[in-house]
Amino acid sequence: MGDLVPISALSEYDYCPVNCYLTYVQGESRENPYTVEGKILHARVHKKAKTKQDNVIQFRKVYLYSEKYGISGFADLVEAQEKTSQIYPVEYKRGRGRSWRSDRLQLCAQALCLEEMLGQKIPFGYIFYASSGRREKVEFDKTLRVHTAEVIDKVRRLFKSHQKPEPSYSSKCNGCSLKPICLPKETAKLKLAEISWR
Amino acid sequence: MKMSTLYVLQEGAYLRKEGERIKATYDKKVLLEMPLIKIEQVVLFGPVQVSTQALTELLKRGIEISFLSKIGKYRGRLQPPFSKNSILRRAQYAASFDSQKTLLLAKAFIYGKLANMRTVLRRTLREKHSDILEKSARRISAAIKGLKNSARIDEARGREGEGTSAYFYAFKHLIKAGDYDFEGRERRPPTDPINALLSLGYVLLTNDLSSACNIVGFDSYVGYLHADKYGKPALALDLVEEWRPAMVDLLVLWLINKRMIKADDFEVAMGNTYRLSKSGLAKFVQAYEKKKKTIIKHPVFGYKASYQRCFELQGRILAKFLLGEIHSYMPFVIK
Repeated sequence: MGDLVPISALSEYDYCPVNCYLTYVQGESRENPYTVEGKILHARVHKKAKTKQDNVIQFRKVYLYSEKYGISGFADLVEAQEKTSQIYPVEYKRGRGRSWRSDRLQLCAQALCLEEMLGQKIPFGYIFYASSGRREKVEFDKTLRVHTAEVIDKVRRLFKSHQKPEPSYSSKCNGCSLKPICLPKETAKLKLAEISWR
Repeated sequence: MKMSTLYVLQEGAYLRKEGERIKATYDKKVLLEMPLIKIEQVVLFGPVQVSTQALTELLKRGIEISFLSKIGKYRGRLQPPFSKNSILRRAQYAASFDSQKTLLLAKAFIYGKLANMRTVLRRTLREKHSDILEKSARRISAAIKGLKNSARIDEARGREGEGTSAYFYAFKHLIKAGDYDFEGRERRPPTDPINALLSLGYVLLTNDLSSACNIVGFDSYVGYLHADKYGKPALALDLVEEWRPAMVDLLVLWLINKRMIKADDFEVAMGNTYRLSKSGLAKFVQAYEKKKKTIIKHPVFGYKASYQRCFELQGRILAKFLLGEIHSYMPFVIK
């Protein structure tokens, strides 16, 4: 299998292509309170590899891949209903959901992998939002699948091209841990600056 | 997060890791304890012992350890694995073969240095007129004008020399206390207290800009204004130029003029070499570290940040230029 695009890069790209580039092409990383919170949440989740609760078997930190789409990554949790044999991925997110679309994309990518690995259709999955404590059901309809495939393609091209997308400041920059490296507002100011030579 | 440089000046001190802290002991007494999370970098003067566990833990957290001699001569550093950012390093190397880009950068670094030197003179001129300071300020202005039109790197270096010479000629008139024999910049060895202080300040500054280079992802040994010289971190020295007047020269003047460092803080060695005594060294290092944390206004961004943060910001501006995001490097020019 050639170079597989990490699934985590997909939602990152959807959220902000510059962040995706800085993280996966330039190799930058920075912590902020949100990233630390996310890490703690995931550490708590990835405790036991396989458990059973009621009639549901739970698999944690499952390695996923898809040759067809050229992606790989880990699912926080994959559940299997004993009675119906229904299998579906569950993704854990801190907060109330910074962007529904990015999160759904990530879950769909996990489903595409599971479908290929298990040879069965996976029509839905769940996202668990830590601060509301609720699971949101996500249907993997055609629109979502097509969008996911598009983003996979865009990210693959970004990694190949080594072309950094243009940073441009928006309110979502404030929650981004790479803001002190990306410097979106500052870059805009620098583009207009000239040495005075006075 | 407020982070500090951990300086250890005590010969024979022993640094070890204790839980989430670094503990320094000497002669069975605890010198200091610092949480690892608050350490930005570690600087050791002379024979200070560090356990391997402490070194490993520091490196794991991305903290660099610099080794200086007892009197502050740079010996080397331990640094964590290079950041994965080879894209930046390729752009850095490519530009070093590009004479146009090299010239552009060299001129920008020199401009920052000269403009800031002139400002140091002008600040004193604002309080009281002085013919000598006025004349030197004008000579620096002339050098800057010549620099603007320099078409080759040796011309630019010539202008730098003219401006620097005018600056240090007037420098002794900025010294208001004590009876110091400053006749101009003397590096090797420093033959008067002022030069000893300047040299030490520049060593600490170069160390800090080397760290900034590493954080951003550069190879600190490949520069533009400073040619590749054995053992010299050329890029760090390039980035240092614009900071010498504000960060070191003004600090030295302040310490001397306020009599926080006096004649008896120095020792004289053979050949009329001056250096700080142990207590003088501690005072200087503390003052330097305190100054690094003071807040200044960034001339391009308009917001306020510490000197320390601005060192890194300037490194990131250079990175953006080399990666083609912006069209020129903007040096940090003080007001």
